[in-house]
Amino acid sequence: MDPSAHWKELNRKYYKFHQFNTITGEQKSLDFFYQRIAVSKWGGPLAATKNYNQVILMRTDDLLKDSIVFFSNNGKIISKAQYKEIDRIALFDFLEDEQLLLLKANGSYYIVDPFKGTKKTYDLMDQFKQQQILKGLIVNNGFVLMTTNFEFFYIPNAYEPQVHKMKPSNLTQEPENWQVIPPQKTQSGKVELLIANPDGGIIHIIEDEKWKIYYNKDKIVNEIDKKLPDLRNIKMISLSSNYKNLALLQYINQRWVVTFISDFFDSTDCKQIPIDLKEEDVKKEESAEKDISKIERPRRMLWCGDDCVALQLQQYLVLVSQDSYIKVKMSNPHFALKQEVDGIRILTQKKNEILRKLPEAYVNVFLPLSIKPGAQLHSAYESFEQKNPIEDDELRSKKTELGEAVNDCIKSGQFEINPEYQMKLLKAASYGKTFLGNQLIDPNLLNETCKYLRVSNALRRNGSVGGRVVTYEQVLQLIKNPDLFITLMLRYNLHYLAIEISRFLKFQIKQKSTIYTHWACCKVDSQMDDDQLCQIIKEKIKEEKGVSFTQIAQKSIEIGKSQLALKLLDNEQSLSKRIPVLIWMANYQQGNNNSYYEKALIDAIASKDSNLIYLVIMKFLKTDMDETYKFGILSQNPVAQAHLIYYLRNFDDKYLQKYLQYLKKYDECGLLAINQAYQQSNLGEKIRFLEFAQKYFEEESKDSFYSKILQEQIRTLTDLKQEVEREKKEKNKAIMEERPLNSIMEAFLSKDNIQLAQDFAKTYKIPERRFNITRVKALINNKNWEELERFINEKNKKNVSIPYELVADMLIKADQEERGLQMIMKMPDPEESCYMLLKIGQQRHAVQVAINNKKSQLIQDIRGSINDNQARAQLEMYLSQNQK
Amino acid sequence: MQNPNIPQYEFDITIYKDYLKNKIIALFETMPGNKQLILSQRVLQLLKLSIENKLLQESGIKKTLTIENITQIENDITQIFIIIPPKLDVTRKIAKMIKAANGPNNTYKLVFWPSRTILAKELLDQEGVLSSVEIKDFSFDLIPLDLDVLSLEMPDAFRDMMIDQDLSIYNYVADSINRIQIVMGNIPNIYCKGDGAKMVYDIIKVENSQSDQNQDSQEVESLIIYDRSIDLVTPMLTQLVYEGLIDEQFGINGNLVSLQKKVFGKEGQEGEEYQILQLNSEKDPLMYKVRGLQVASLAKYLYEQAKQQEAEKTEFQKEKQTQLNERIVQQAKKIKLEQESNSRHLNISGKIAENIKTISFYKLLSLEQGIINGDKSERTLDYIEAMIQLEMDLNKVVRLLALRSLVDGGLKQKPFDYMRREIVHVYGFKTIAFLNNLSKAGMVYKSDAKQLFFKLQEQFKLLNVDIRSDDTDPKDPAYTYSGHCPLMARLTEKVFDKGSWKPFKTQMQLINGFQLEPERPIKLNIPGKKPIVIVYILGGVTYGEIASLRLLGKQFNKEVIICTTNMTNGTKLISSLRERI
Repeated sequence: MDPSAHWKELNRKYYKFHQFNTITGEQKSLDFFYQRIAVSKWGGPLAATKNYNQVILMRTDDLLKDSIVFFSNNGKIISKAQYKEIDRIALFDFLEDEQLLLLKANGSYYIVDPFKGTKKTYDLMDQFKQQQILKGLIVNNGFVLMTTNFEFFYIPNAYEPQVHKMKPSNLTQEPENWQVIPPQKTQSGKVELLIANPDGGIIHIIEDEKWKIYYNKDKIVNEIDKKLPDLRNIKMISLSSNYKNLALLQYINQRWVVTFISDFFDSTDCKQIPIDLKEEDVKKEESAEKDISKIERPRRMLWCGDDCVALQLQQYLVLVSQDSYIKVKMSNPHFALKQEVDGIRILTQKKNEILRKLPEAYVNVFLPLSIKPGAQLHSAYESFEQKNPIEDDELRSKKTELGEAVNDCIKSGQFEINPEYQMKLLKAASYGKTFLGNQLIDPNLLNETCKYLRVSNALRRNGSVGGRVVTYEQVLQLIKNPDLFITLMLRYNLHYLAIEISRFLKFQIKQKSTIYTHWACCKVDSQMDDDQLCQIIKEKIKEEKGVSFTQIAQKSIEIGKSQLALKLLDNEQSLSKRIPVLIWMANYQQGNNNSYYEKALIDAIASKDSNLIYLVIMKFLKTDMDETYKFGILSQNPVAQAHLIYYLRNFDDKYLQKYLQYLKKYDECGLLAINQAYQQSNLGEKIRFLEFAQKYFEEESKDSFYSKILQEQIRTLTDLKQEVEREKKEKNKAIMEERPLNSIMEAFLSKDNIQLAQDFAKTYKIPERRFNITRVKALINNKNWEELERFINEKNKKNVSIPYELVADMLIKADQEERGLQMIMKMPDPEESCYMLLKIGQQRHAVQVAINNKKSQLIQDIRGSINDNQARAQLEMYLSQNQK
Repeated sequence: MQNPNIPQYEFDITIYKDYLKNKIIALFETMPGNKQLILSQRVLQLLKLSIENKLLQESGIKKTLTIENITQIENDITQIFIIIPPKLDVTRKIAKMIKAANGPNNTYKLVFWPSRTILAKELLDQEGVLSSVEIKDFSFDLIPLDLDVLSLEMPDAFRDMMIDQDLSIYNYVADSINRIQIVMGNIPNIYCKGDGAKMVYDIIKVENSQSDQNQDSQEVESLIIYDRSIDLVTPMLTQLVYEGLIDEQFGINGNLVSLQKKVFGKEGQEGEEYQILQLNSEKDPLMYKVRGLQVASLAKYLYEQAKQQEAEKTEFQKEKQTQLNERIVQQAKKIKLEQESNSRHLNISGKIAENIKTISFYKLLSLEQGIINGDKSERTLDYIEAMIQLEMDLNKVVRLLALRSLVDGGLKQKPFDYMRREIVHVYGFKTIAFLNNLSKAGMVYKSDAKQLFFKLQEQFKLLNVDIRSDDTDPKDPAYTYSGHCPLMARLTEKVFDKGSWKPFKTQMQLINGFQLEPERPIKLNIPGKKPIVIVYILGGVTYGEIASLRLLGKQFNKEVIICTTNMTNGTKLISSLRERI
């Protein structure tokens, strides 16, 4: 198609119907007017099903019998999904990830895969059985719906149906029209609604946060908002692709008016243009309806670019800009529209087209009789190519104009759909560029243009399944969201294309791994030997980072290849992903699932992640397998053992006891029993547990200490118990409680009950030294200094069993410094004593010790460090006396 | 203000600090409006280390409670923000309180630091509160305690590794290393010593293979990972450098120490007798120099500094009358800060000196020195026995006993049983579980006839008797323990010196545990920049050890950055093994 054909002028701006391809498939006989049609964004497929809402006399829809049908770009059937229900449909449109959503009035819905034709059922549960759903609109991968009582609900993700109620709309009758702004495009970061209020103005709802009315002077109190225009009888609302511009269709005084508002809710000015929507040469169906606003009401109003809207009538398309409009009669009465980021896609029974505003560059080059530099360069190149070069010296010599020309050719190449013309334009640009050097033009522009054109042409692959009719501009948008981009290609198993494009555009590891994982998940389904299959998958993927073998394995299990799954799982690097799958596999396959747990446990230990080990342990313990078997598996590794013990200690004491016995860890059993004993408040119970403990310890010969000490403790407690029982009979006497043995003895000593203490010490075999030291402690506490002196002298007579420095320390802490120092001076080794006194700053005493013991050498040694006058004098005196 | 006494660090901790602050604020903003904050004591400490109180108040926190000090949740503020570690006893307590709180309007956000565990979640489920709380994870990651010290501040790390065999700690450490690598690039040389170090290394390796980071670090030359268990002797010894002594005597939490106002000659009002001080070389101009000095050198240094400051001041006052400009103002500020710092340290070190001049300190020190110098076991044990019988602080008694046992390669059956019986008799029967833990952790145990310490001491030259405690410019890392050199310092020295442990094969075999080093160590040569070496210690490091590593950094011209799970000392290590029956 000639680039200069099919232009429409709208007040000196040009719009063009650009044909991608003709329709050759079954779509030729599709009835667009009466059926439910959905066209996917980004040039994707078309879906159609019967519309039972319409009453049709003569049905011509055998093509859609009992099914939802998907058509590729050239109109061939991609797939069919069975669908016989005649419930009212509230929403029939594609989700962002290009699966079709069919929402029924009662809140149940299907998500249909256009490639496989499979459908999954979802349900919003009872909520909408009473108040049914009137209408819904897609938002990203979710939707917003309106019920029969005009309340709105938001489902952010259709795959996980969770219903968020929006602010009450306060509507009493059905609004003529409403639109949704997705959260990523709003300031609030939440989903927002614009509703045409039947009483005038627009209701603005921000999810569950805010309700407000605009453009209605009666309802507005806010001074600022009062300056906004008053807009009534709004029949349709349309938002531009960037969600910045608003167009309204109003019916005022028997006339249709289109209102343009940019910066809606903020700006006070709006442009209005009255239009005529009569289709005089189109035969309308007869009906009793007399209301013109209903008869003439367009089917849809969509933005085409940023400054024009298109209204879809029965056979006409009306293009309206802020200052003029034209009516275009469509050659084929059957057509469907889809708003794309840079225009409107138009599908008919014959053609697959896009309507876009022509950029200035394109107009410069192709406007008939254009004398712009772009046009000159283009025709100069054409002649050059035909080996019939014309005189273009003039253009070549004017660098500024040449630059402009090159730029225009490149930009036109970006805009052009037909590869043949693209090529010609780019060659022209390149031809011009040779005379230009790198001045006046972005040196990367040509390169970039070629790169993205290759991508958009590759994606187009006319007619084949998964091909999409995208423009250069759309590709630039898609690249900004690589996850979505890849998803759209993988939807149709275009693995090769996806990987080539992601390499070409240098996408991240994440996207590449998604592609490989998806590929492998498809691959496992093929009829091949498990080993071979595993080998092929490994071969392909081994160099790629981040591929999820877990996902692939999971897929294999779903299709019944569990052996393959195990093989694949061995390749999963990330153990934290692998283990849950193993557990899942174990549960998925009833019966012989032991090996999975064993494998899971080994993996969990290798992962060094305690959480995973606990996960396996917990799941494994919950199975109804034989206990000894469970214990056996869980004890094979010391780490697993430690984790099991820790888990049981905190969650199941009794089971722990069992397990420790199984392990023959009798000392641990014993300690556990001791622990339990000390949770008992009853003394008898406590003793009983300690007896258990002792039995365990007797089994264990490694460390006999525990058994002995327990024996003692049991004896002590039994004595205590008798004591307590005796005391209970005597009233007013404080009941004894368990205390450390030594402190009981100390209590006797504090009360100077020496005899009782001695008896006690004998009974419980308390060593004599401890008895003595405890006595010293009691004496100091009782400030019985004389007895202390006497006692220590007596006990330390032969050899020092009560260290003097310890007693000294206690005395000093009890504010008896002098007594303490005297104690130090008694130390058997005068050197040690002397240095200790020096260290604690007691020079006089230190000198005294040395002198008392006649240690001349020591005195010489410490001489240098004495700076206390008195001590020094004493020292010098001693020295001088002894020298004599 | 940049402190001129401190070298510029290449390793930029401000990134950590600011990031952490923003992260904390963002955390609280997930629950807009007024809220009450319930924390475990430990988390409160972390918050204090990371963010100013003012910022917390601005985030809508109306009151802060510690879980250890409350028995129920009050419903006066219905938004309740809880941050706790996923320890099961704490989780159980909070679950019970949530269940008991009769606040129909209460909303709970339960944040686990550093992340939830499957068991904590299971517990919440069993207690039936899982559905009524919103669970989140929050990691403080490595908290910068000083310009060259970062800590995860997980005081139970050693216990987790030795007793509970919980592997989470290795993951937390590996994660923190990976985050460093994301910022700084992959570290070319990794050295490991100890089994725990291997665990961490294995996790890093797996995570590296999945990471997008392909850049090799241009600043960080090496990462050395040590496991606390390769050297338990050093922490059992009393730290003798200034910062270490503050820790031993007053207990440092992170880098905060609470001191009696009396120490500074001030009278505290009742209930406010304590003052909290941040020990940080960024905030305190003298800290950089004084923290690694022994008390004897410290006094000398501070005295000289005071003289110099006074001289500067006089000089400055003369100058001041003639001109007044920005430089002068800065100068005045600097002098004032330094003088404040000087008098602060004089006060603290004065208090320390006072504590040192006691019999118990002198005795303790001479016992310790005796043990590592090869004194006979019987003498020490005899004294320890008396300490037990006098019922002195159990942690401190056991610390000494552990030192004896570690040096001797365990205790002989008879004294082992005897000591244990004495402990049980004096401190109560419940200590039996503690004793069991001590033996499990290889601290106090029955001798295995392998007496390695003295071989180790000889082969690695861990003893240097020529150390002078009043040296103000020490070189040998053995200075930090007055003669004993921490093993880590000697191992690190070998890496700095030869780039490898390979030439010391027989010596290295004396140390238990896994060992790893790069095949061909890569040397970073950046003109004008010191290469960074990160030393990561699992299970805790002492201030004394840090001081010794700093000395090495200076000597070999490397920028040593210390990372650890927690700051520790012998008493903290021992008390983490105690069991509450």
